[in-house]
Order: sequence, then structure tokens, then C-alpha cells
Amino acid sequence: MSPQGQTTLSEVFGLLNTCAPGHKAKKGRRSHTWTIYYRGKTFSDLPKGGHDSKEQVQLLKVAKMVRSLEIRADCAVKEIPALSGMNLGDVPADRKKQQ
Amino acid sequence: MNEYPLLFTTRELVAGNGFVAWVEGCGWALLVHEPNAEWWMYGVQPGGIGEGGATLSEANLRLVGSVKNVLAEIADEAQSFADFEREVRGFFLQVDDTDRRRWDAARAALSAGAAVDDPSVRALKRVPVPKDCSVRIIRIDAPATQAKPDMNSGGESRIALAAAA
Repeated sequence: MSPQGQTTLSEVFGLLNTCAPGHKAKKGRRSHTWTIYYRGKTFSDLPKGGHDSKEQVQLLKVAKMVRSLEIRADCAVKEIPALSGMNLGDVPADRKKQQ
Repeated sequence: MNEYPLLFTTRELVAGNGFVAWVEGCGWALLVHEPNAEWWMYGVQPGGIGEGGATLSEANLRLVGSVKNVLAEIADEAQSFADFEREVRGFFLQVDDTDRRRWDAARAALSAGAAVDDPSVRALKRVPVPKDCSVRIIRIDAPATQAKPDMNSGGESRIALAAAA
């Protein structure tokens, strides 16, 4: 974690690896931004950079990604504690069982 | 109020592999004045995008940029117009259920007469929620007899506050 309200792209991919097993990440050829696919849901436009990138990502964007992809909030907060207290959404019961 | 229900439309001409398409997307977004004073527009439908900025206008511009990026990437990948059409529909129709509930609550508050303090939000037009908010994708064939100047995109999406249906 560096600047307030931000995290790094590498930490975001760490969250995805732990909390969204089986997700796919695809880097766009045009915009070079990332699209994440997870259990039928898609989140677009994560900033460009490599998996180990120090590229900064706003926590509000990460929180939106967690809501959009219906990732478990408790897992997300464990990976990136700064997400604590942010609106991370409610994962439907049937999806919780799958995670 | 710090959460507002927005309706928006975007219009883009998109060039793909062997086709040009006009995409007019209608969507819902949740506008939030966050505690850090930034304005964020979270996609409700399409639910897989969200952008913020120092002002409502900046957040809007960034969200439009996101939509443009998504359409450009879909066009780059699609091997045919049919592929493009299917993927664009999938993008526009994905719903974020959490933000949908927040959008509904914000709309109910607005309808009940909650005060809108911020001038930039107060200045937005109030429009009824359309019964059919979806996406139109039209293939532009040469000669482009279906082309019209109003298909051109602007710098910002057209946004309005969702009023009573």
C-alpha cells in the first residue's frame, strides 16, 4: 500500500488469485487495460501493467470490482485490509458455496 | 443525499474486423459523492465498470472512456459482426445487484423529495425511467445510407437523474 486510497495492481491480482479462483484476466490489445472474467461476470478497465506491477489502483475501483464479480467481502478484506469498511456488496448464497 | 440514480446513453461508431457498427447503449449508473470528496459513477447496468474523478463531469468523461475501451477491445477480438453484437449485448446487460439495490434506494429517496444539495447534480435533467433500457447495435453497410450525424459520440455520455417512471 502506498498513497492513501490506493493499492497496487500486484495486490489486486493477489486478491483475485486467492478470492476468485479460476478467474481469467485478459489484457486488451488496444487499451492495454485488464478485463477480469469470473463465474459469468466481467469487470473491465483495470489499469494497465503486469501482474507484479506497482501501478496504482484506486481502492474505490477495487471495491467496485469486488461487487461486480461477487467476490466474498471477508476474503477481499483479508487480502487488502484497506478495503475494510467499504461497500463490497453481498454475495448471493449460491455463489458463496462455490467460492 | 450522497447517492444518486443516473440514466445514461452512449453513442459510438465502432470499426471492427470487416464491419462498422453503431452502438447506442442505454444504461443505469449509481453516482456517489464519496467520503474522500471524489465523484464516482458505478455501472449498475452495465455493471462491470466504474470510474471516478474530482467532479461529476470528470467522472462522466472517465466512464465514457471506459465504455469506449470496452467496445474497442470487443471489436478487436470479434471475428464477425455477430460475435461483436453478442459480446456488446453481454457487456451492456450485466447487472451489478448490489449497486442496483443502492440505485433503487436512491431513486426512492429522490422520488420522496430528498434534497439535492450539490449544484452539478441539481442541474441534471430529470427524466422518467424508460421501460426499455437496452442496447442497439446497427451494422453500417456501405454505402452508408443509415449513417446520420447524430450517431456521432460526444465527449460525455448524456446523463440525467432517474425520476418517476
